[in-house]
Amino acid sequence: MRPVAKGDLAGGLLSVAFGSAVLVHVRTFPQLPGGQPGPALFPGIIGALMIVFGLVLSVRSFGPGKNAAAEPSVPATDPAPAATAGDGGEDTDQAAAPKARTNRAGLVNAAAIVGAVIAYILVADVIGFVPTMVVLLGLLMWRLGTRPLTAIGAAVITTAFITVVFRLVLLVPLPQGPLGI
Amino acid sequence: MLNDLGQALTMLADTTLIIAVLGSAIYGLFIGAIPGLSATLATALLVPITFFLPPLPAIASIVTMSAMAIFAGDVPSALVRMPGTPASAAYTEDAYRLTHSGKGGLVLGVGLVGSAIGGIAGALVLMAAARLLAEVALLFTSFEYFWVAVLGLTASVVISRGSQVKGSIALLIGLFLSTIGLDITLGYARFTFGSTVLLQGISFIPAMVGLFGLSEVLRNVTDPRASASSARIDPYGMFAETRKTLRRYWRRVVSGNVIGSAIGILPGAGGDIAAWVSYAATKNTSKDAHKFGKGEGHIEPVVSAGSSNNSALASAYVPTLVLGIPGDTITAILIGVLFVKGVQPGPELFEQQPSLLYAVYMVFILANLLLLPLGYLAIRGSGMLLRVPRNVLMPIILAFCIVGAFAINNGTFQIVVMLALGILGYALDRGGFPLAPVVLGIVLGPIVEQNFMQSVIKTNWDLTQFFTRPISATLMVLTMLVLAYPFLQHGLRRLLRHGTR
Repeated sequence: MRPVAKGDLAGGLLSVAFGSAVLVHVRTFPQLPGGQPGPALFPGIIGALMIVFGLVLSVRSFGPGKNAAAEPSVPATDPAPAATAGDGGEDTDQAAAPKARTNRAGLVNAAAIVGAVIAYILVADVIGFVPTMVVLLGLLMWRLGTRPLTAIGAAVITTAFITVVFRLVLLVPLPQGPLGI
Repeated sequence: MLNDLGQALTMLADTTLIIAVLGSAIYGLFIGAIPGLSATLATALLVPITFFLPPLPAIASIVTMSAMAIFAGDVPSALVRMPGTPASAAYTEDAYRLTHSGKGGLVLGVGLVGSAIGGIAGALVLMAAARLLAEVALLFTSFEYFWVAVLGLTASVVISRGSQVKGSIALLIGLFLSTIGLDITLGYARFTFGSTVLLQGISFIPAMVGLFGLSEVLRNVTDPRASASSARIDPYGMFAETRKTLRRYWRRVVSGNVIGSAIGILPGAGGDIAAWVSYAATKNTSKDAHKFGKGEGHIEPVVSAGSSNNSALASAYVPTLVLGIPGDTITAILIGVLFVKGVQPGPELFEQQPSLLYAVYMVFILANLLLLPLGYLAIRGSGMLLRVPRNVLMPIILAFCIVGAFAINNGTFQIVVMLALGILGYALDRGGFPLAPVVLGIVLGPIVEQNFMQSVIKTNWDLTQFFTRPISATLMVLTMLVLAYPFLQHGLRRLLRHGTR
């Protein structure tokens, strides 16, 4: 029997693993005087539930099985079965298929974004906010497909804008490098 | 009361507030109109700036921004079939088809006026309900707060669309994150692994910026959606058509507002859910249901769902202001801001600072009135808005994420938190897990735990009080009803379908 949704299986197993780790770890937490659960109670429940739901998800990932319409997941007959909740607040899951797209260029882009943040964390305090931002923004824009001149221009304007708003108006101490910017 | 009203008006006549409102209005229209950038993202990015404003302008910016963004989401959904915000997703198909048969002006006109009406209606509900709830809330003890928080958690998972299992796991992740730090009972450091920075828990605002900001950027660069479009809306004759349509379907306007306000008040459920429920309700009770979402589309669900999401936005402030329990993800973020500013939501707010509340109500009305002229301009300029190049926009948003996370505490650690939550948010979304329950878990987790612990310690583990206190019992029944909602939905739908055959 092969899993229909491998991603779900992975997610479910991760949830089980994490929940188990939490359960094991909270046994080291102290109890309230009188032997009643204290700090361990809430995380313990969370861990246990993660195991339960992780198992459900893992089992479900093997396909619908006998009762295809069993789960009354809201609203089952509406268009695009998106996975959202809350307010006008976060992204609709644009159907199951596009999720599976592992576009190589896209992943490189994502890595670039993450790399840029890490680079900022490491470098900004050393050489200052302005140079770091201009370089990172320019490189990112260029990587994403902007023409080099436009990238530099936009990077400079954005950095200038942020510097004015945050450093001058809001008085946030953005890191200053050896040049004082 | 007149004295407070007068004071509220003076508070509104402040330059900072006016600039903040106008700025956030434009900002909201901009972000709302771009597919893939949600109103929660807009809030998360705006928060680091509102952090530096006094409480009223801060709230006013968020209120204005969200009202604009929720309307602006209709524009790309009509033009390119991509909702600008999830709140417009329910009626995107109809809006798009209508636009393509030449009725774009009508669609957006209805969206605009419907949104404004929805927002004002929601604000009126907010004023009335908040007052009522505040009276009741004075009787609330830790038992009642526990149940309201649980209600919020339940609603965010059950009423959300898609897999409840994944929603629950997302919620549990949020709840877990909220346990990091010193615990309420013994002050024991949980899950900090020796780090002193984590003692106070995950910094909320950087976490939000990461979860909704950075993850959105990551999503956009890995799965780019087409933004260039040559479609244009011809607004000529728009308002006359709009008036006729709204008059014809006035019952839908009313039902949309009722549903929107009801769902908005429910903690954890917000605008996009309200729109979906409204859409479904309209479809189940309309003679023209077969025309919805097909062929040329139909304006009826646009009318009802379009006003629903705006009224839900306003009524979400009822539990937020009265109980400190967020009505949706935007107010969840807002609560974080309010706490930092020392504005303690709760019934005392109604006693101690009534003028602040009146000012907030007025901002709501003002923002929705402002929506009319500004929204109209946005419709005229919609072609331009959709052509903003992603490859320039995404790094700019990233820059704001980094600076925003840093600005809260001037700490590099906050940027790390932002990065971690951003990657988490991206991974969750990729796997089809909803993000809103994560936020609600983070915000409501401490409320659930603290109130539970206080209750049991107070009464020496007498658990019966959770069920025997009258208000607690009522809230518990409400929670059960929400849990039963999917099953009820099935039954209701079958009933209504048989009725209209």
